[in-house]
Amino acid sequence: MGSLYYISLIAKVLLLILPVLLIVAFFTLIERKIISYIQRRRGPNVVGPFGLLQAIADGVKLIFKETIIPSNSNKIIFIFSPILTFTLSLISWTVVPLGLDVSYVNLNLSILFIFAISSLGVYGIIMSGWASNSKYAFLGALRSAAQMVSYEVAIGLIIISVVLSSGTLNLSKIVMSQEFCWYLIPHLPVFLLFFISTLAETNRHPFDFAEAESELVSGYNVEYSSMTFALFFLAEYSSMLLMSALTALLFVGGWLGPLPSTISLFSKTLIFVFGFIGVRAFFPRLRYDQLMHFGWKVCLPVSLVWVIFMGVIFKNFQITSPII
Amino acid sequence: MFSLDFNLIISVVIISSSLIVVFSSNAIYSVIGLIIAYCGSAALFIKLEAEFLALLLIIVYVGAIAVLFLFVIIMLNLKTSVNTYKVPFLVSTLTFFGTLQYIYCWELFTEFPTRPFREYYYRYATAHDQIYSFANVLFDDTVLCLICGGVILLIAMIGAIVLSTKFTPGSRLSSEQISRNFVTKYIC
Repeated sequence: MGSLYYISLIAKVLLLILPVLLIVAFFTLIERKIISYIQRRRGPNVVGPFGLLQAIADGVKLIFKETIIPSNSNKIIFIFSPILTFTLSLISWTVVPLGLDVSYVNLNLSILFIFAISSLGVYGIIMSGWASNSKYAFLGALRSAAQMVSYEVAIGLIIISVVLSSGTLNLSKIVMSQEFCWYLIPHLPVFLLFFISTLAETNRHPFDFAEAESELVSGYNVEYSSMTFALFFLAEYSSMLLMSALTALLFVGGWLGPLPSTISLFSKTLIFVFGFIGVRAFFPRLRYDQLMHFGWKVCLPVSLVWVIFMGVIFKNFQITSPII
Repeated sequence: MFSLDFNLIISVVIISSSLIVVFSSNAIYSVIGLIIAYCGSAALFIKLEAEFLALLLIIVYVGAIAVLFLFVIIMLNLKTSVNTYKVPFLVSTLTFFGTLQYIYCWELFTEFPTRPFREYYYRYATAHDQIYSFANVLFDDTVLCLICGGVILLIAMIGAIVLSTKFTPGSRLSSEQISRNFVTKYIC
């Protein structure tokens, strides 16, 4: 293991992280553009041709601002929690396959790994809300932590039903088992629930109680400025992108699409990204008790019944998945 | 003379974070120490090539249970506690659980043919896929214990809900506080 090994290792990591960050930067631009067209305005169109450099201008602005640390905050946790959130949102990308045998690591338990990492994402939010020592941030953190924990249960059960029908926890093999039929078709009801749960899991509209502007100013990141805020922002969009890619891999056949391999995965991911943005533009925000009602009394029972239903079908008709 | 290997580093991290859990005067730091201890145990499991167990540990303990601990402690707004009785309590607890662990390891690794542990060990620990061996043990041999454990947990959960729900006569649920919901529920 010479220096060449470490150089290649760093190069691989950069090859993974830099495209993700670039896509995230342009994701914010796409979001602002699409929402502005829906609302019959022009959106960002000053910086660069068609406003294409707006994302870079925003990034530069955030870097050069002053990082303000509140004097009554818990400084170590205050600084640490955005770093944790950002790191966790990037770690999951290591196991996402972009094509057959195209991934940073081909873990055998990759779907479980993604689930574990996304369940850790709550800590960044709840610790940042506590460490800010501000009532708005604290309430936002409590709300969003409760919301993420309750929708994770439904996501876990839906993933179990997909895993039941593919017979493996490896994301590449889950995609390969959809060669004859996308899981969108047999799993249509839970696919819809999965999309709604990912909206709630990433704290997006119409479930954005973490940053209900009219009530909590901006939620858990009120006290953050400059780069610490930018890390939260990047983490949010990166996890939205990850959830879109995960939906594309689990339900609509990943790279086994009508287009050539990775391009097809990208276009499917883009469709779900448009779904995220469209939902933000079209739907009003729910009330908090409606959100909890939906999570625990609709999502959870339906996905649980679906798992049992799938299990009974596989047991009674002696169906084995194409992988094992 | 020992070499500074991965196991040693992780063990030191686990033990020091457990000490933080016990001796920290701030309850939040205690929970963070607990989380670090769980993550360290997961790392040990990965080192022992039990990746499935490691990920389950992270999902269940770090992702759900410790989150609830942190949530409750933050909501209760506890003041700093005083370090009385902590050392004798720690010593007695460590003695108790250490003895239990010693008995368990003794049964596992000495000749004790009637014990099921050894049997399982030879049948499944060398199997190709961990998940299949877990499923074999849980859903074939000990399925009754598994169902009993599940039922006990369900009863505990329902009991907690029943104990914590109090309907005082004058109070209304949050879903009934808006007048249109109240009207549709009680008047129409």
